Amino acid sequence: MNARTYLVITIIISTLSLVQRSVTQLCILLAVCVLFVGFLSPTKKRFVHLWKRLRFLLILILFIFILQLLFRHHGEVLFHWSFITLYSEGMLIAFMVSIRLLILLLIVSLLFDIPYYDFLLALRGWKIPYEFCLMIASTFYFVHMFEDQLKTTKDQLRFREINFGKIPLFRKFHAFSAIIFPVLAHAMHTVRYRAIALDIKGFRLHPNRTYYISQKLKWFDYIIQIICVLSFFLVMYLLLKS
Amino acid sequence: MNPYFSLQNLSFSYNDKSIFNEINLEIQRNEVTVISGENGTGKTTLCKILFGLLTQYKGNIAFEEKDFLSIDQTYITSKIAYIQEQTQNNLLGATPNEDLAIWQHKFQKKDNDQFKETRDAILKRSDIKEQAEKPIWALSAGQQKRVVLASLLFNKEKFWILDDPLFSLDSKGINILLSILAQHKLSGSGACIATQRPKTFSLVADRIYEIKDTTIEQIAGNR
Repeated sequence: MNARTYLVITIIISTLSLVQRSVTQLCILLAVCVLFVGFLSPTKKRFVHLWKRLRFLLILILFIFILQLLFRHHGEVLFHWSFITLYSEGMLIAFMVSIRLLILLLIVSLLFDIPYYDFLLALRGWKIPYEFCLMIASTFYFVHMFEDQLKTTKDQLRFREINFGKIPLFRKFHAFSAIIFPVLAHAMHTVRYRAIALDIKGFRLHPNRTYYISQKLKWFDYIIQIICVLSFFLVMYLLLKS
Repeated sequence: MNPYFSLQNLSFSYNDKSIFNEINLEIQRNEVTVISGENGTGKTTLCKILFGLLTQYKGNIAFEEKDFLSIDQTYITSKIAYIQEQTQNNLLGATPNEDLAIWQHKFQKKDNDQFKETRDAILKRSDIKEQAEKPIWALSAGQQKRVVLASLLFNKEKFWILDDPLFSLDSKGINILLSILAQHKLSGSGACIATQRPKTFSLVADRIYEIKDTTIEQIAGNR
């Protein structure tokens, strides 16, 4: 499937997740999103990779859920014990925010598996100025780079018999900064050399550029894109009507 | 003497490409074993298998006479020090001094004068004392490699697996590496070295093997 089709799916699902205003609608959207992810990444390897990528963010979603639940004080009282009071609106908002975040994370995770150059060509296919395409594609490239660098760091900790979980709490902050700082610095160093490489290759030297690889949409790309766009307008129409 | 590693009929494929086809190899705990071969023959793959990073092989590997697959990775890292091919991947700290300090305190203890003294001696021996406080990413590839090799001196009691340790080292760096290896061997420990230049290790190597066409053959040393 063409990277442009991935982009269309991502843009439509993420936009819908922001405009939906009920838990049921968000649940339906989440189901659609899971179907898409399942349909587009049917291999076990990709699912495992996706799970590894999302599991830490799921903890964050859970944390946000608890915060919303505890600190939203509107609506009916659903539960009360000691200083903990749960309200109906808190429960509703907590669910909505969590499902929305889950949809966004799942759908954006599709984009991270697109090779950098495909991403660039997909954006160029929409006639977006090359500078913008490069900036957007580079963002994904650097996320990948950070991911790799963090994996290397994790391996290196293991090779040195360092179990991060067993480091005393008061030393954890020092350990974390000592580990993360070189990762960031190394990434910035790479960015610098990448900028030099771009200049050497004549970035922005000519008004137009040509591409060695061309990305053409296939018949199923057209069908998926049309279905997605039509579904988007239909949902928007139904939402506005209600 | 029982071998430290014993590989029996080991086969390994990567993306349907056969890397090893039923190879047999024994590595002794107190010997320096050199594995040579051209690019892409499987030297790094063998190092990764020996360190337990690749487990989808066929055949048997015995480590300390136990089935390698049944051994926990924590135990392996407590017995083996592994230096990867890509120099950067072996470094964790922001400066050579900090990187070596992490090897010492492992974030469990506070850095102290005794640690600093040992570190200074090691930095001096590896000829990187002057670069001790410079950012790792600002060092040359050779200087980074020296920092990595210096870290071996904190792992004297372990068996070493060194993947292409000569890469980017100058002649002075190579001499430092050879002296570290000779001392390691004298203390009764061994190493497995993957390299394209086996002759460089002829003075310290006990056995030299060559990987060729998915097989491994001993080309020099004790039989």
